Amino acid sequence: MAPGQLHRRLSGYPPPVLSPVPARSALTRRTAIGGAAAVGAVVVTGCTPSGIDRRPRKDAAATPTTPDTDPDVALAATVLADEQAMLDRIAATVARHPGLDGRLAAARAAHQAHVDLLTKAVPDEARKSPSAAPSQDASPSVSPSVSPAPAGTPAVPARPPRALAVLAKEEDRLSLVGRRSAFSAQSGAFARVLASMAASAAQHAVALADAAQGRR
Amino acid sequence: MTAVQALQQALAGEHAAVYVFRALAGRVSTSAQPMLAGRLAAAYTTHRARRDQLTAMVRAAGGDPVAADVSYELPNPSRTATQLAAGALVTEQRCAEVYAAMVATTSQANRQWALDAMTDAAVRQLSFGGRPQPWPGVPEL
Repeated sequence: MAPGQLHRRLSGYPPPVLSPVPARSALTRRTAIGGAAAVGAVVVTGCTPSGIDRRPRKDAAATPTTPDTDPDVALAATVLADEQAMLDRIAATVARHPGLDGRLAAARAAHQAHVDLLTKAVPDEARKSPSAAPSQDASPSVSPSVSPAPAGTPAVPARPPRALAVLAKEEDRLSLVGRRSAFSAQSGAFARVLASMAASAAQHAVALADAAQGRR
Repeated sequence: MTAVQALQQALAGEHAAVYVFRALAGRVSTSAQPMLAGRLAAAYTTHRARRDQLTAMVRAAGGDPVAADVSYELPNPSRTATQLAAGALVTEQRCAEVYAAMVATTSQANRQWALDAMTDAAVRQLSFGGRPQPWPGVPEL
């Protein structure tokens, strides 16, 4: 049995030389989301988008990348809105059932991490859902009709197990939507990050469904 | 990276996973740990099927499927039930990393396959004592 073989076979993919995925040591949150983050940087600093890591596409080379046309930025904005909505649902559930606070802490932390990363990637003007954005990010142009409790927030079931089951179903839906987003992302590095978000939501869906049935 | 290279890397990882799960499933006591035994057997069946699918995918992409190594180092001594579950967990975590890399380096049907495999590996971690993570398969985040 050769030492290190399992580790070599099951980790460290892909080799940095061959892969469009940045080397692990050089991978920051910004570079991890590839094109979308880079485009965000373009808006802020006016840098040219040269060196953006993205999958080769016939139409990508012909079309200049701008915040309006980069499909990965639109994708990031959509996922950001979905992740923020999930965070809002969890907050509403904890508000109705304070006893579930500890049980939902892991899910809340995960989706907050997803929102934090995506927020850096999406320019303010590309945000999909102003009502779902954190209040400190709200721009003066946000309609004053937006209330503290968005109209889209659904009612939380009265019984805690049922409330957990509803959250589990929403996590499942978020995971499915996330996989679709990862499938269509142009940047391979961004697709990888979206896939991880979807896998995280799938984990929480199972954990919450188990909790709803008293198995955890 | 070419499509064939991306598939070959995933196949190499799956060869290792098949080896490990066959070893773990063979060491568990089905009478003393029936639930763990069932989960290890299910993981072995799943990874063996994935290995076969990846082999076919490499061939379909025009490649010569990479062969398995003769043996692989197990993640731990794998004697107690706790060690067996821990070994299964770390193997699924590494598989999720392999599939995440495959998501980044593939497109279309192959990327969809990687997405499904990655999600399954992430969920399967829970059956071996893992907890939901913010960034499964992406250790640097």
